[in-house]
Amino acid sequence: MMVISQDGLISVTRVSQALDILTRLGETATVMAGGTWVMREARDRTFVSLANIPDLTDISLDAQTLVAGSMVTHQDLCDAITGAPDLAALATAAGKSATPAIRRMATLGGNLCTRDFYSADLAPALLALNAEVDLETSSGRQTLSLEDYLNTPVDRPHILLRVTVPRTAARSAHVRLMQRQAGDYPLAVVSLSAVITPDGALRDLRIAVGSVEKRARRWRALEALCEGQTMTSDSIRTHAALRASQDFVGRDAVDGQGWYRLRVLPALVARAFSDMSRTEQGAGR
Amino acid sequence: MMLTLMINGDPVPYHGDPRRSLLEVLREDLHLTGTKDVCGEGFCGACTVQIDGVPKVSCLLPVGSLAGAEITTIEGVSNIETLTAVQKAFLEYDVVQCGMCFPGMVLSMTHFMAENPSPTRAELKSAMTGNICRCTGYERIIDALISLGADGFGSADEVCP
Ligand SMILES: Cc1cc2nc3c(=O)[nH]c(=O)nc-3n(C[C@H](O)[C@H](O)[C@H](O)COP(=O)(O)OP(=O)(O)OC[C@H]3O[C@@H](n4cnc5c(N)ncnc54)[C@H](O)[C@@H]3O)c2cc1C
Ligand code: FES
Ligand code: FES
Repeated sequence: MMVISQDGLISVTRVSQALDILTRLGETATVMAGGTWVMREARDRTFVSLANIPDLTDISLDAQTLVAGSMVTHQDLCDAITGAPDLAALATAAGKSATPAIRRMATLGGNLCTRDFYSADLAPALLALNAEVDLETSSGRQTLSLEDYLNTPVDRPHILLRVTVPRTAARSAHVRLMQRQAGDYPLAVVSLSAVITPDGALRDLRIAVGSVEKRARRWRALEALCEGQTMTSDSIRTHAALRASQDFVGRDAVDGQGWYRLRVLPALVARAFSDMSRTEQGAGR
Repeated sequence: MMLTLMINGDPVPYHGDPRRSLLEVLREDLHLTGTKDVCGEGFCGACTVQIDGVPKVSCLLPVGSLAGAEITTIEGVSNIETLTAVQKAFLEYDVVQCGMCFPGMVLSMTHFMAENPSPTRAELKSAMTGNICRCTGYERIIDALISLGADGFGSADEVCP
């Protein structure tokens, strides 16, 4: 099929077409996925819509992996994985972020690629689940860990094609704090994944923090303190309280001050830990 | 380039910038002012419409992405003789105050009630996240919706517009 151009919005049917147009138009163009960010922040640019590219909305889930295309919406992602204990953090992130209407519009790719959006829920959840991303760039296809994708400069332009999450015997949980009960951007987010051994010790622990700084990232110092240990929500809270201000610089913004984001982190870690431990599903909130 | 929008069952030609929001086109070009313009940022839900039967916020929908989609606004939900069950319940329970949130509330909750005919109060509250009402305090809206299953306003089918 052809590229359909309507001046300010170009709808493509192949990833290579999107890259060609983005290369040609440079900073005057932007990828459009669900549109919930670009309609607010980039309306002066030419939108290159990925909506008509086949495969980008595919989701597959089996015993080994979850593979989700970048154009999968938050709602479709939540519906596809609800009930899988290892993926509970992601189901909560996708199912509780934003509002029902936005969850039907905003995409996985948009959540991970919007570098100026600091409160993404899917990013910390996917970091805790050790996700990888497949990208198409002008110089070819690349597979990167999500951690590398978020924290290192990647060739521009690029299209995020899909996200792959390995299935494991771990449980996971995702906890978000807002000013109101729902509908705001989260002030701070903690996602946590671990295997709890029969003697109660934590193995393969991954803790990720979102919204506190500009980019979501793993809390490796806390992971190192707790890995292999038998923890309670009180003991993990104590460790988190000792580390928080050493390991993060809280972000000041209109919705919350940096010091406050740091202050609440230990309680969120404790809550994520108890959610993960309490139920087979690792239900979050 | 010309685009044909399907709005409340009627084809409507559109010429113009495809990045304009559906909200702007509905209100400014077509004078369908039932869809309300409040935050313009996706937070309040006053601009909610249904796209192929599913509630979305029209302030963040570029009109150029809607060719071939069925767009339903509050004007297309019913007419004065045939209110939907959700509208009848809102009227019966006298829940509307200033009315700014209600077109969006009707479009969101009609869809939700069709999919969940016997919701709990908690389920209704989470379904209403994103439809902000500054006047009512929500509880009466919830009473009205809960009544749909109980006192004969209709089954899930009749709840659909
Ligand atoms: C009212 C409201 C509340 C919200 N609350 C939350 C919340 O609580 N938690 C949360 O996580 N998010 C929240 N969001 C943010 C929402 O998740 C983002 O707006 C969304 O993630 C952007 O996704 P999109 O598909 O709409 O992206 P778009 O707006 O289409 O694109 C955004 C950016 O991502 C780039 N991009 C998108 N897809 C790709 C791709 N495949 N490859 C390369 N680049 C790409 C584009 O170039 C663009 O710069 C909220 C948004 C709104 C409007
Ligand atoms: S005006 Fe669209 S959500 Fe508020
Ligand atoms: S009735 Fe006034 S905002 Fe809801």
